[in-house]
Amino acid sequence: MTPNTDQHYIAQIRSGNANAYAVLVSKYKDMTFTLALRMVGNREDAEEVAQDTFVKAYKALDSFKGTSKFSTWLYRIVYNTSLDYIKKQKRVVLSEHIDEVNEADIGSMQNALTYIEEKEKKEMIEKALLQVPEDERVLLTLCYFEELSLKEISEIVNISYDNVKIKLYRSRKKLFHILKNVVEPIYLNHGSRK
Amino acid sequence: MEAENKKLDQFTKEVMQDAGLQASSTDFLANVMAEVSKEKVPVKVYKPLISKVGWLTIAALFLIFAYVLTNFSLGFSIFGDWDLSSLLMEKYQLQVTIPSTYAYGCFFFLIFVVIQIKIFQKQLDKRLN
Repeated sequence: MTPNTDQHYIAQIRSGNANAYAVLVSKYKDMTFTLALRMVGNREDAEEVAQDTFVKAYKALDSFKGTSKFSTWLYRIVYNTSLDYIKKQKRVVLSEHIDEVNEADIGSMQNALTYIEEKEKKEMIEKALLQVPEDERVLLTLCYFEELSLKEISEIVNISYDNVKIKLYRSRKKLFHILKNVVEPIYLNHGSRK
Repeated sequence: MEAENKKLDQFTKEVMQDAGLQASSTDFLANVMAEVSKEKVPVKVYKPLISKVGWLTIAALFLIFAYVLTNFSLGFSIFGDWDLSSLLMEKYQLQVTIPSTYAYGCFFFLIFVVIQIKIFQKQLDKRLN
């Protein structure tokens, strides 16, 4: 039996079964929340933004044409809702200086990360991500976690394909340098204790 | 440079996969559904391409045309001296007789097709924008 697609549940909602929306919310709630969190930076606000996103999406469901995936459409709503939220808060994120990255550096970082406990590593990456500008955090999440194509990402964040490519290139470097600054002292400590 | 980019790309992928997803609160679904239940169900209302008034106008025009064509003679031909039968005979040596009514039918059919294409284009533009 093939699993029902998003389109199947959308058709059910449109025919009057509002409860079918719960399936879509359950399916996308964590990704939507993660994107909101990576944009706004704290759990309380992210929860509000993510809930607001689902309510907005529900209200606009009759205008969803199905020309793109439901997830792409939903992520575009969460991205715009988060941007509006940030604008209201008038927050400014300082940009990280980017140095060149060499292959040996990457190798030693990969090695260092293997020595760190899973939970600690997750927290560390999350903290490092918060130092990357919010729009770039979203790009990294969509590209490397959700594994969306550059074309889909450009539709979500409403910037050109080439711009997505450039921003991703920069954000990869920024994340690497931030992580390096966090991980290296821990790794050296581990080494000196041994 | 290319190798470095590839390695950095792979490293970022590993890091982002390690970061994973953040779980929303346990009552997230209930909160959303409570909000949603206050909203009107977004039912897609079926809208016919040609409205009732549109169909009535088409029917009225058809009846007027039928009445005019059967009861009055225009006294001139839309095609002037142009005759489809002799044209086919001249160009392709085809000896077929095409009645004027048939030629008129084809002519008006073409006009309607062109009008419909315009209507469809407008509808499509409206839906895509």
